Amino acid sequence: MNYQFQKEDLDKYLVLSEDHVWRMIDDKAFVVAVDGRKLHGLNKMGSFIWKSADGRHTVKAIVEKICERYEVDKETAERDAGEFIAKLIDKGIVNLSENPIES
Amino acid sequence: MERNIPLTVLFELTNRCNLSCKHCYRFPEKREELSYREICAFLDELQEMGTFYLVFTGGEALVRSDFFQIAEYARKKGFLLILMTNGTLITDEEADKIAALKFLELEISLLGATPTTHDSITKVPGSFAKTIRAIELLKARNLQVRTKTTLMSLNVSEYQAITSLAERLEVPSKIRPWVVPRRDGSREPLKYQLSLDDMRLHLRNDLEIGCLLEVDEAHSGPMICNAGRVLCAISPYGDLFPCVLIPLKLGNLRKDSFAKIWKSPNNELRRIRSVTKSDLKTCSVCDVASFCNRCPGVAYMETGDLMAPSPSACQLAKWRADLKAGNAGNV
Repeated sequence: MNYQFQKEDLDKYLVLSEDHVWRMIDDKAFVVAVDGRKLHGLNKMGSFIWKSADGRHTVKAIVEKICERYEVDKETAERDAGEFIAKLIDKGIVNLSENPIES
Repeated sequence: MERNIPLTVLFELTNRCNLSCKHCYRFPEKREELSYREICAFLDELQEMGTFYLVFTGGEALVRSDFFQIAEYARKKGFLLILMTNGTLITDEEADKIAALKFLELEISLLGATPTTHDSITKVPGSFAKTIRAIELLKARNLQVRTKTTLMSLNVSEYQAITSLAERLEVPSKIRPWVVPRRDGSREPLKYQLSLDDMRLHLRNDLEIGCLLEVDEAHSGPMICNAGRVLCAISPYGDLFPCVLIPLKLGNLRKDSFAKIWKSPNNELRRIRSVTKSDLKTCSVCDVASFCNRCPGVAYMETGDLMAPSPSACQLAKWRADLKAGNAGNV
């Protein structure tokens, strides 16, 4: 399954899957599925997106933060974030929600 | 691994047990066990340190009346949970709770293929039936279950039957011939250790030999093992050890934070982290080294020296070497 990130997904809220656990070690996110089978290490930008996936931020808001933090243009940030999020969705690590998730 | 992130922590929640296994290395201590609040605080620390896998054990962890409260807290903090248990306290109710908490793996102690053998080792009549029931209940809930058997003189004659039983129950089995001295130094359990005669008499065919020829992944690299690097153990009283089998106390979590003990290692921890197999003077030149499954913790408990040859490992390695050479001992 290859998720295709769409323009309308920018208005959705990024939520971590409950089937994964994660740790931040030296600002880098490490993620493991609850079946314990595979450990994913995310790069710096991936880790930044990960930390923002709290169900309260839309993808658009996350992209704006990426632009500020990494000094990239909006188009590049949207494309890169979209590709990255699509991969995380394929691995079942994150989901997109129409509405914010109350913690 | 280079950063010594304690990915796996073995947490002994209690020293108490409802069984009295003859070979057990446990001995009762007159100290106050960690409370629920203390355990939760330590779990918070472990989460900060990067720990992923929490292995709950004891004694028998389910003897604690707050076991499921602890497990629930751990699950909420995002740990991957593994339970080592004798299974005797698991009924439908406990199995449901274990399933709801999505335990990654359950390791159940199976000490014989028959009630006679198993119960004679645990010294509790009826324990075998309860253990088998636990395996069935957990399997019925699609949980990952494995049996763990300490192979010793008391059950070696049932080696084949134990592996067959695990197959019938449709669970993998882990069989290891590691009987170690008690933690108070008593060598009493060692009288049950497999002898060469035991091996010659009972372990003959490829199936039996094959299992004992496996080298544990933890012992297969250049370092002596993962203890004190990506693995550690916490006692029911908050003592921190490099591993449950290496009783060299690194500190106590009631006095110092985990981070302080782990990141500012004492001399002992520094040594454990730096030792490689080539530093083992005797073992590094041993001609049966490739057949050896030496555990530094077992070596320490047998000899008092982390770096010394482990007599039980030496015996087993020589036996494996003989088998490979086709010189299987004559009875």
